[in-house]
Amino acid sequence: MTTVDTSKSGGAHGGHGGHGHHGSYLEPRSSFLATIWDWATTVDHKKIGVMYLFAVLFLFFVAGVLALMVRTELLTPVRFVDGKVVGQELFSLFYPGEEATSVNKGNTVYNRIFTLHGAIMVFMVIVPSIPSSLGNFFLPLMIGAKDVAFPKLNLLSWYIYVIGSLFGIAAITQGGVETGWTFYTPYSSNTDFGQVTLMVLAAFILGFSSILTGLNFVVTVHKLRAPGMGWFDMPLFVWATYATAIIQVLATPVIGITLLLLCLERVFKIGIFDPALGGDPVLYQHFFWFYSHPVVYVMILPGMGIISDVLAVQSRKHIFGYKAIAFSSLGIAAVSFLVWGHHMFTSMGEIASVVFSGLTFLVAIPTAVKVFNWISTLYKGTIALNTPMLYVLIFLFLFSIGGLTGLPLATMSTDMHLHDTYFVVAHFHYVMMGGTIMALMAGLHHWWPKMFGRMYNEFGGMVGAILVFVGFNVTFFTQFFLGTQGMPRRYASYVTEFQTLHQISTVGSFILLLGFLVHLFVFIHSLMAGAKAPKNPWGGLTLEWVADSPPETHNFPHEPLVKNGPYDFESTVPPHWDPKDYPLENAGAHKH
Amino acid sequence: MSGSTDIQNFDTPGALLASMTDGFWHNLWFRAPAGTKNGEATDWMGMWLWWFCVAWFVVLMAIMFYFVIRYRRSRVGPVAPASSAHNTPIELAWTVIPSLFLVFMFFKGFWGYIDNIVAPAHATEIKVEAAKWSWRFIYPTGAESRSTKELGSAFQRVFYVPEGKPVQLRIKSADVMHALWIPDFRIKADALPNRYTTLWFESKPLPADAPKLNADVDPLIKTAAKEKFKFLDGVPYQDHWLFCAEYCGEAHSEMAATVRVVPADMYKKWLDAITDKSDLAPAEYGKTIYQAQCSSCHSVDEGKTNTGPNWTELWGNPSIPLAGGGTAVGDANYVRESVRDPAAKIHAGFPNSMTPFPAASLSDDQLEAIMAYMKYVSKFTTQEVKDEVMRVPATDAAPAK
Repeated sequence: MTTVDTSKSGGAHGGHGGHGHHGSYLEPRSSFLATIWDWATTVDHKKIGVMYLFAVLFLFFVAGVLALMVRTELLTPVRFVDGKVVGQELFSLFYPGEEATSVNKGNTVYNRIFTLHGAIMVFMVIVPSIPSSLGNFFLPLMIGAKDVAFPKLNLLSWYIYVIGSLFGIAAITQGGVETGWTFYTPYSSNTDFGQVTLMVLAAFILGFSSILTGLNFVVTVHKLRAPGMGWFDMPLFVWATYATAIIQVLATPVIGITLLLLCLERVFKIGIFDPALGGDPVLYQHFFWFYSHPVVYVMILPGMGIISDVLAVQSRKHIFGYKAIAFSSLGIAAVSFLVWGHHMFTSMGEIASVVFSGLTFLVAIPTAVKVFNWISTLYKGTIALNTPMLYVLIFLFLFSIGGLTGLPLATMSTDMHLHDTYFVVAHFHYVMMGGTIMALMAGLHHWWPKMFGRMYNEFGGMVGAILVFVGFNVTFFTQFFLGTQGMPRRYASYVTEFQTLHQISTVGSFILLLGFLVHLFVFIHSLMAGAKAPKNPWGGLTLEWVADSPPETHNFPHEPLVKNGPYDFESTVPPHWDPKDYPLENAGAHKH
Repeated sequence: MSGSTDIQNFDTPGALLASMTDGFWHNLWFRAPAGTKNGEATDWMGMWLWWFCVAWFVVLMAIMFYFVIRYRRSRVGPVAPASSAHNTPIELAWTVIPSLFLVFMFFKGFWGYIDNIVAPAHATEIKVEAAKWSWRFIYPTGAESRSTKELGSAFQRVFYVPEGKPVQLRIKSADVMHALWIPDFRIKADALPNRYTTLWFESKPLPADAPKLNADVDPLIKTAAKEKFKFLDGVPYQDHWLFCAEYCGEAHSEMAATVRVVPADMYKKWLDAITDKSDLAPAEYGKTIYQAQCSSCHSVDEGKTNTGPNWTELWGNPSIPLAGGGTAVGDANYVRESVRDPAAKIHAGFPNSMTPFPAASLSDDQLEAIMAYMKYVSKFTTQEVKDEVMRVPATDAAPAK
């Protein structure tokens, strides 16, 4: 079975051999300023993806530092000793030299920090993390296209993201917000503190970046697949990105309208959410969660797509149940719109609560099936034990815990105890960070050689992964116990009984930091002095491995022709692979 | 809170079941057994879920790690052996079997939830008002607690409640969203500014080794005028945290209270001691408002018809017929809506002619006084409830159900 027909050049460097072969997309221009201008006006999906990647990673660190501040504050509870406030670690950081006379000022610092941590992580990091970076970079490559359907729209999406983020930064520097990232009314519609309107506008603007990217991806998948690539020949990362894009297009407008209504409520007192003006505060929650539940599937589905691809390639094995995984992505996307009320069991009526509980259990089924399919893919594979694979295993471990701990939250009687406690905080960190971020790390390591033409240090990657894994569990598993034992969330202080668990959690958060610093160092080192990457270091069969490492500007010298499935490892020699290293029984007419 | 050895809640005894509501693993998760029987049922479900998750997780991870080791590349070589991409029987099994477990979880959760929100008819109703950043319990006699206790960095109120008697909390907020959570009872409800939410609990019997009250625990025992609370000295008690569980601003983490369970007869004496009898009882006050503003259309004499529905059939009526079909429950939210927005639900057989009473013309406090009066005249409420809202002194007669 043949693989894809491309340039006959044997070297990994761009620029020689073949015909019409352009330079790598990373090649700088004649002067520094020209290079900056090139990147600032590019419509190349790869450059846009890289810009998103660096923005997302930078903001991840910013929000991560905020989290470390939260955990530091929680090392000790706040008390009065001899008439003086003690235990507010952040107060002296923000008001140096000042003496706290009451707990409120220091609490407000804490409340701003956790709000910003949540808002930055949700709106500026996790939602765009995989689709805008790896999605942008690899969707066209994987379907054999030159670029996305609307390259200029892609650049617009990037600039909208930048502008929205700048609005957010402006809000932060002008005092920030302390409403929680959920902006519940009437608190958020009435509070005088901070820059609620500005921050809400930031989120509103960022939403358009999401919508336009989603639109771009849907059209790209429908219209730009290379000849020979039917729907069931697409890599599962493409299926996942597609399902995500549909949710982005359909759900994001709802949060846009909701946030706009919140602004109108604050500025013009239209009376939609404030009961004093005849409104209903729970209505806000319905509007808010109608988007914010599907958005958590926007966060996790691309991660699941990465896991499918990385797992298959690193095990050199076809995915078990390809169609089941593909359809479950669409199924999860559809059902995700029906379960938003499970965030509101304690404020909704009884019938609504019952209905949402039942529907929430429904969405657990396709998710569980995916996990079973992935583990089954490992069966009779040939598994490389490297950093991408390690992150896949970490994902399976952490995401399983995250998913399973959703069950007591979907169960109404137990949710009555667990809602708005640290149990929920632990649950969503297990799925969002233990899921999406770990999948991002798997994908980053897996595709790093392709994106930047350099290998990363494998040992360093493994060390980082292990530190992240250990740190994550120490930080967040303890929080399950905090929740069941009685610790509410968004608390700047707590009863003394909870101090030990909080201190353990804080220690874990610094181990996490160490792990990510190791990764940062490994990546910087790779960019500066990493070994040159071959075109196909892992032996993948999907089209991105045909392109150069890093790819040339238009991805492929000619439009590729697809002749094998994405995971046909049993019958296909990977492109750019030496048949001596990859002997196959039925090694027929392969071209390399 | 001391561990309880009283686990006679289920028909099947045994250490295994005991471990679902007490014991090492349970207390690792919950610190101590729940303070109510419903709480124990919630704990049973919680521990069942814990073991279910452990079982599935261990099995999945064991298989995963086994595969990773058994099929590692250094052992298998560069090409994987042939294997199937499907196995319909297994795929069906792993879809259907987990689904069955999920159905079980859903129903257990649903029934447990209903148990927690539907109070017994003879429950005493305490109103709760949440405001930034403290709690008020307004007892049926109209009185409020004066006791406080240091919790965290602040002194917060202590609310006495009776042991072994059902207590219903009717909760609302004076300003933003709050939530009332009593961890030991495993119950929580949001406090909304425009609607009542309800919870109920019945405390388990106090353990034999419960601590005893004294002036260190409640200073009012020594400091109250006329030794009003001296009888509390030496009374067994158990304290439970009450936390705000919905972010509400700068002192959200200080917005706590203590729920103090004492024997029922001591609770009655305490309630009597805190009630200022020189003031109108809630139902008395409500009666004056009724006479001035409601009696022209509503009767409180059984059998009499008038322009509006008769109040003897209102409070606690489980199925008030509505115009256009359907029924409504005669609860606090129904009454509040009927006063603020009468056109929303019209009683079948009556005209849509009631003028709305917004907060400006009938305050929330006046509205709640009317509700107290409605309880007093309704044929659906127990004599005990009627006595409470009219401040009839407690007798030793057995309470009517």
